[in-house]
Amino acid sequence: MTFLEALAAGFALVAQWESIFFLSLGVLVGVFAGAIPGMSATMAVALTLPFTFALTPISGILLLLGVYKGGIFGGSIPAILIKTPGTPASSATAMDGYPLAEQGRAGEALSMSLYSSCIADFISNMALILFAAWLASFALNFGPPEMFTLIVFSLTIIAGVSGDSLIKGIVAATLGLILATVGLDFIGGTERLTFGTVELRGGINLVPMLIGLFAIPEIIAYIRNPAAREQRVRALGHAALKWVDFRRSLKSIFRGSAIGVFMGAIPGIGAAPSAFLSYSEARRNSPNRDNFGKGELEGVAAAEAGNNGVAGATLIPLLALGIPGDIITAIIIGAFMIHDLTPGPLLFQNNAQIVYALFLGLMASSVILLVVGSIAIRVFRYIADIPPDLLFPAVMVLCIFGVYAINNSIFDVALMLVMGVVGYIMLIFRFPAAPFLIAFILGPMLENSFRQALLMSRGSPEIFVRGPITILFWCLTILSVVMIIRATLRAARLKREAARSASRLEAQSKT
Amino acid sequence: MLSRRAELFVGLGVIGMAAILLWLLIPGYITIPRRVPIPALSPAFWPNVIGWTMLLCGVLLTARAVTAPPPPDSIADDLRFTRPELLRVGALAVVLVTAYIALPIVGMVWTCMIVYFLMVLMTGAKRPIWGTVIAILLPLVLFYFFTKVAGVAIPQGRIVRLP
Amino acid sequence: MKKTLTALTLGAATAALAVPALAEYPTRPIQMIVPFGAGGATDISARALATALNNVVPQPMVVSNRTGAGGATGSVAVRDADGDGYTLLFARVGSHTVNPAMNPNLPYTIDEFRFVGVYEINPVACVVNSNSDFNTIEDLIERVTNDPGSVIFSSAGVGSMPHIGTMMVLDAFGVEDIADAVIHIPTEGDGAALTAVLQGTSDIFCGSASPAVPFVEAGQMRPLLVTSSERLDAMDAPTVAEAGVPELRALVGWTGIAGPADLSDEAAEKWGEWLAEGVQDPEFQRILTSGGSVIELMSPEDSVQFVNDAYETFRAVVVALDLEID
Repeated sequence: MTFLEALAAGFALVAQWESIFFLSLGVLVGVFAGAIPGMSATMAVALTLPFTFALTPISGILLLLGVYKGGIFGGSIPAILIKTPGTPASSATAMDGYPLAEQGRAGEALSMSLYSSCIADFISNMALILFAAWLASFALNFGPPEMFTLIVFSLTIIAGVSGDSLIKGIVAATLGLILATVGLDFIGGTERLTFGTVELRGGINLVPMLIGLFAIPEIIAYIRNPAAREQRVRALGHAALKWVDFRRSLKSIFRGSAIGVFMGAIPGIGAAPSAFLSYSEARRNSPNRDNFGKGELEGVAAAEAGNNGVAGATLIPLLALGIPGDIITAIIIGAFMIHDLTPGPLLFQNNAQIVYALFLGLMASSVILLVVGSIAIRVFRYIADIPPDLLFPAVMVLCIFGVYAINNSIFDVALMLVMGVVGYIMLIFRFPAAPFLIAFILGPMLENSFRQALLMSRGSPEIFVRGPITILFWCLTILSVVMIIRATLRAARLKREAARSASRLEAQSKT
Repeated sequence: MLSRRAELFVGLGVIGMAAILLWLLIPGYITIPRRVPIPALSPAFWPNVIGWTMLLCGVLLTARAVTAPPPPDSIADDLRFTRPELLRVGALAVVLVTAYIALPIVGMVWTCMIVYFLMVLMTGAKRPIWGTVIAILLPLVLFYFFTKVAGVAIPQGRIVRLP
Repeated sequence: MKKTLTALTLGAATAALAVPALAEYPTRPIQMIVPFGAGGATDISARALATALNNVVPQPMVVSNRTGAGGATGSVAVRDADGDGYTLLFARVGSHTVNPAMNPNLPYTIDEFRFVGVYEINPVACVVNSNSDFNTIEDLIERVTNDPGSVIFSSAGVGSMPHIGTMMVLDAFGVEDIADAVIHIPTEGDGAALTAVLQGTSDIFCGSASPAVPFVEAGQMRPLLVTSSERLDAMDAPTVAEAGVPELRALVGWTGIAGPADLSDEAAEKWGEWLAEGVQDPEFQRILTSGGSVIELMSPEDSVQFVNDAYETFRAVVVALDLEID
């Protein structure tokens, strides 16, 4: 079959009402599932899988892809409205999205999130279609040593999300790292910090931890002093996104999409690190740097571009090599196998029409996401109008149900509550939550790749500089560390001067 | 910004946590296998690296709290809890701990109804009717969504089971 | 009169409440716990079976994933559940033979479960990268013997099937001091372990054939050995009998359904009947066989025997090779 014939056959497969229907249905299910904390995109895809058994291959796979794409965007809705990330990847969105909602700009934040998601999704799909082979060969060169250096570099994000004190950011990160070591040891299989409990053998689950860390402290703070919130304007979440705001965020959206494509093509990283990397890069390069974390539309745009940029690219290792990049693509591989399709290079030879149908379906999915997303925003933004005395208890109940549902575990509910207390203490003492979360996500990857690499080299550290990729990441790491130190010293000097003049003023006013 | 006293407290607290980790948790609760080919592969290697980093940061935080000029009292955060605040947060803690214990016995739906209602009361119950209506409806809606649509077996408890 | 009325009302109320309890099992949805992640081999097998059983069982099946610690978290949840037949487990080779054989600190033993049926067998295949120098299993054994420590194998984690599988294969071919002869690199799962072979990080993977089939079909990997009694359609490699190590036929993966030890006889009996009917479902058969599995339903008694035999085989290897986890 020639390229054109395959393309035509693929077009015929997609351009049926059935395919478009299942794709749209998938996006719809995904957006709403993603918007429910605890129903992550992964869970939604897993739940949809049995329904695809009875469908034709292309309808089934498009349905799953729709759920995946919708779920990744859907997670940003509760992240913005109630500071409860629907998926781990949308935690970065909460950092600026929630403050915006607090200022009564939820509508703008949601729109920005949607447009940014759709653009990044589209770019990611184009990257998949155009550069799949090239990026896949890159992914094949990414062994444990390369992974380790990439994660070391990614840890420098911490500086970008630490707020006013870098040292406190690092302390928060060490806490996240240490919690990530709980469970069975990866190499030896022995117990680490489990204190003999069965539940902790499997490690601390990410979703209860992150919901505890983000959503619960807000609830505690509200209960502590409900009157403080009454004075703030929270409603009016219906203002439309302004063109200027969109225009100035475009650069961050494109940068975030590129980061997403790159991180998505490498198996085993996932969307959350990409969202944070994109966010911290946007902050570093933005003229509005100081407004990040306080309600900056560009921050929302960057975070969402980072996590949706992964969505298409994560199919690169799947389609080109047959290997899953994350849990969701592992489920999608299962769907391929169920329909007697072999993911990997053979698919292009034996079922070229399916591949092109998939590509066309993916491109259509960006547009469908835009339509379905706009509808979802219209529905969900009314949440911003619910008075806080009814909203916060509802968030609490929602979190209990959602966290339980993730792993059918009441222990996870306790974990969420405990992390909520930890998060609140961190809030009081001005420790940032984001470094904690990033370190928790990256921690296992860092440690595992370090140890796998050392096993490969039988203990020789030379393996960490074994090729151009590792050296590139070491250089990038050194470069960002130098920049961080310079920026920190400058900020400390400014702060000292400010404090000095403030006390001088105070002293003057007293005399 | 925190006051000098609070910053000092934070710095010493971080040092304390690092010390507990390094000298109590790591030796006591990490099992080292008999065969460890090289020290960097030991299960205690990373926790130790993390612990020492934390300790160093704690020392830096303490040193900075001692040396840096403190912010004037007028802009420093007030960390004290007022009496009503303490009461409300304490009540929330009691409610949540009780709810957690009650979850497997009473079931998630009934527990969450009560949690919602009590939380509405704690904030002064400005809209008691709405509060009651949502307290009853929300857990029911969530229950039917998760069990019927998402296929999650929400704990029902041993007293009254929903269909 | 009033007393009688009250008694009657109470009686009626109790009867109304108690009717479900008197009726035949099952009267409410059955929770089926998969102790591994969504999308994995166990999960797909479990969901396919549940879909097939929905036509057979009068009540819906609720499949839920309870992941963690190589299947231990989900297994313990079922062990601690009531034996009324409303909470059952999809037990698998890793959680119910390899792990118990290797890990004396495991929070459960296989005696704490009552098996109602093993329904799926997965032969094990050893695969290498197509670019590798190993064309036969003998090439590999020669290299391991002559140059100890130069061969790396990947697994889905400590105590997983590929971990012990590779060791068993080498042992069967007479390799000595296995702990030093090969290097074990654990990864996050079968997919990641195969990715390591594809990248060249690892030299060999000996685990369930199903996840390796696509790579073999696409020519990215070469199979060296399969543990089935006959050659597999999907990969043309010598069987263990052809290779002269028939004892390796015991090295197979399996999936079965188990309840807590005190599972009622009524439930166990029902499940025997349901499974016999459920595995006939053509859709279920297509899904499982397309993944390289063999459908083989065992009666509850045979299942228990099979699982115990498998455990003993693995346990003997663990003791002989000193693989026990501290």
